[in-house]
Amino acid sequence: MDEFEGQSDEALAALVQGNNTQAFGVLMSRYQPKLMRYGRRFLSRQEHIEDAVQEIFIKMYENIESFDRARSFSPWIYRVAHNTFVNALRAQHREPVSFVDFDTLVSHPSYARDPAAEEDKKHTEQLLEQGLDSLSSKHREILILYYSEDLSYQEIADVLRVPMGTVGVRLSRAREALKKQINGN
Amino acid sequence: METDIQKKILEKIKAGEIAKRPRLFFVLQVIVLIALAALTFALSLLVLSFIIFSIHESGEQLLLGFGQQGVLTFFALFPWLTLALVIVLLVTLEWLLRNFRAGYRIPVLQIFLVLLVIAAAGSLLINFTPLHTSLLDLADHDSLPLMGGMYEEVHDPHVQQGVFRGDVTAIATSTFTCAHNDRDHDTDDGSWVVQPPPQFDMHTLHLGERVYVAGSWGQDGLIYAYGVHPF
Repeated sequence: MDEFEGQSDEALAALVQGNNTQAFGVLMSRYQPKLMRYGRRFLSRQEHIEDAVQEIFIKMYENIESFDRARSFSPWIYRVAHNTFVNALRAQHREPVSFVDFDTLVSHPSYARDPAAEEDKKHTEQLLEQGLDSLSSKHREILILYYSEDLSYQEIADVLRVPMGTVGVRLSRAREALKKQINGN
Repeated sequence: METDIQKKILEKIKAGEIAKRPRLFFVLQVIVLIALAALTFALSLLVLSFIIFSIHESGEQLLLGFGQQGVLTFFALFPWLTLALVIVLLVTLEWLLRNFRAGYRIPVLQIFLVLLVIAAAGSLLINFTPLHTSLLDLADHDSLPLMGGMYEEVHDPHVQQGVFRGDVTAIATSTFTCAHNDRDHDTDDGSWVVQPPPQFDMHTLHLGERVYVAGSWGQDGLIYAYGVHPF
């Protein structure tokens, strides 16, 4: 496994496309802790999270040929994870099915990174540990992707399949909701 | 360190229980998606251009020049259900396009408006071609399956709503007779005596001229028109 240590996720994905199952094992090792943490924002029971993560890895292997090597790997795997966790949530009837996200209807000003969010990053990361549970999954998810998984606005837009301006607006609303939640407690 | 989940999955891969989908699968998926999007777009173009064609062919746009009552009748006769079908098709198209990067990067309303403008422009262009006239011709000869009924309705007189179309067959001092007979024995055939609105100049009428009449039946069997226009 050491031979893969310095390799990027994209290089490993390319090896998996070439039938290298060892490289797939390394990719799973890299992403399992991240996906478990991501999954905790959707599902509460450990066994449900593990089942979902297993399903994500299976989908990742089955669909690896659809991964475009010219692009970043993490938005691709988080897109698979997003769909799997949202489906798991719906299966448990914990989340109403939403056909339209109203914040995707109109355009919002978009930035590659919001300077205010950057400044606030450390503080929000600390708040995240305290009060995520009562936030809606939409807000929880964007906070996790931005603050914990360190994805860029563009990458988050690709994971959630929303315009980049929507990422900024949703992130700002999620931060507000988080602060309100913590101040209320 | 290999966890239980990883071990389980690697074993399944080795046993052949989990297999990679070939690249061709994804290529075909994209092709099917593009074909569906193209089909949906073509269908929305066809239906929207049909709405424009039917309004023009039936002369209903003339109602807009007949005052408030004419405008109300125009809206009453407007094919709202067909327009709803166009909107459903465009929403479906938008949903299909959201599978592509360029599709989800544009806000929903923005992309919908762009599609609507493109569809409207395309529909206007289609109306410069003989497509709908040929289809209407086929429908009139009962040779257009599926969409035949839709095309035949274009010539419906809408007597209930007080709309009549026909050729002027007789002109009297204050009334004229118009009749329509396209020898297909359907509901658009008939003959009506019309009293035009007071300000109407009877000298503008000519025998054999095709006219569009909007009015209401009187108890004496006359049609008291609030609008008459050649078309």
